[in-house]
Amino acid sequence: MTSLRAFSPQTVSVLAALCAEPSVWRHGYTLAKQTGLKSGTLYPILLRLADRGLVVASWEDEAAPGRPRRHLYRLTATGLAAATAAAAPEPTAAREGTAPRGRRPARLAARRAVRWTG
Amino acid sequence: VDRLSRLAAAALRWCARLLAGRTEWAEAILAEAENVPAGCQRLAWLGGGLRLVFRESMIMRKAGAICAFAAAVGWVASLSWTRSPVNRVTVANRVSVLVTVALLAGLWLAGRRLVGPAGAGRTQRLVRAGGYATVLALTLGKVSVERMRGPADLGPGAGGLLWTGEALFLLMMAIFTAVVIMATAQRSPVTTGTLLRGIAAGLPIGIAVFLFLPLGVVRYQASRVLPAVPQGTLGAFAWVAVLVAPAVAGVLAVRRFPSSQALPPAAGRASVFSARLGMAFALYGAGTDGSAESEARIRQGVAAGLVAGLTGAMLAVLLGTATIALLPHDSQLLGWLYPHLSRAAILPAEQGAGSNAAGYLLLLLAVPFAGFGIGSIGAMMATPDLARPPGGGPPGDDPPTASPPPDGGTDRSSDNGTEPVVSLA
Repeated sequence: MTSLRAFSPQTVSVLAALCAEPSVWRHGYTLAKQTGLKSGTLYPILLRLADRGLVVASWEDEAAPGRPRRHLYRLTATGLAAATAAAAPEPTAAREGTAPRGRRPARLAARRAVRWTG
Repeated sequence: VDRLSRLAAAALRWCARLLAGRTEWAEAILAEAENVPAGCQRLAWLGGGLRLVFRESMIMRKAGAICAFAAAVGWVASLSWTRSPVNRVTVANRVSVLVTVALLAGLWLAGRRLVGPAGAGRTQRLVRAGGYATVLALTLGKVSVERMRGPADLGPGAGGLLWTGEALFLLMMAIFTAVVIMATAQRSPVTTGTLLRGIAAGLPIGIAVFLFLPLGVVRYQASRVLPAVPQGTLGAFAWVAVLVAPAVAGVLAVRRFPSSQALPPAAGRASVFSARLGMAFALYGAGTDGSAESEARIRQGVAAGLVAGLTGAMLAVLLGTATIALLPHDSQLLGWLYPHLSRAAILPAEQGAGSNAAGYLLLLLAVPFAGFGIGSIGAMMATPDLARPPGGGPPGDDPPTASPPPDGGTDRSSDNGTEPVVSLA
């Protein structure tokens, strides 16, 4: 059974961290520090995002001396759209109660950007 | 703490192999650990990596499934090994239990190599667990029923028939288990929709056949499973169910199969085998354009019919065997099924029921075979390309082309069980 599922707050924070400078490759530890997530939470999120084509992962071309090559992450175009939609502020009309009842458009767009099955 | 960190890193490096195809994620955490400050922070970082491996490899679920299987096998074996006198039937039953358990385990291992492990979907896991439970329950019921056999089955000359029956029973259990494993595997050639349609079609078959033959394959007029309905009517219902339900399942499986964008992945030799078998059985001389989509559609129809037949046969035999096995223990059931018999006359009736249960083997053989054939015919009739006569056909008689799904082919939720289940933390 497929259903739409909202981004979790942790996923939104990862998307926001990646969205800050979309063209820059990020390390896992940097993302963990930025989002405050532990590795056991951060990496499953990155893995799911990569599975869905929102994030692209790659290994460093060259390793620093004495250290292994690191894994790098960056948003794809789809991921950038989803992250932007998820991070969009709540529309004024909705705050004032004039918008139609239901989910906020930005959140809905983000949810539609990716189908999450559960 | 540093020593613990080194231990955690070694454990993560070793456990990474559990993430088949995703080891790079564990390696990424290991590589990143070099940049985390040494001490508790690095240890926590590596602990998170181990958590990722355990979650993604679903090792706890696998361990739980193996433990549940072992417990169920132990329970069935303990009930089958009760203090029954050692005679030919007892020996046959014990051999049957051991071979059944070996079949379940062996086919599971073989299935992992051929079509992969169980699918990630809840439906596939439930169907697989239900299939295994059905086989074990039927084995237990058979052992209980065969204890009720009369002296004629224990005498000289009865051994050949007994062992032939055991071999046929084990053969059907192997076929049923193989179909369950194939249909619920990650690389199954059968979609979840087809599987569910086959099961849904098999339920009325099982119930109708059980109502007609609740005490074995015998014309026993006095059974009162449905007192108000004549036995002939029950028989007609059973025949209609056996003949119609697989065809309906086959037609629906073909028609609801998504367009070529959503073809199930190839499943290796097993997939080719099933397609060829379906072609050879139902499509001999019918002609086909041989396209991949037609073959996939036909495969769905054949599979739906086979699943319907197997489900119906197993359900009918399971219900009937359980009824017979409960006869000596449940006086209310006894009075309901044998209202005209005195208590003194019940023992021969019970013994008769035990022998009649052997006739269920015919159901186990015939109903799946019928489902396979009828499902194939239904698939042949419902596949548009096969209905087209050679050389084109009259204008305007072309089969309807499959229109793309409204979401552009990405929505495979209803008919594809191979889609990975993902969720965000």
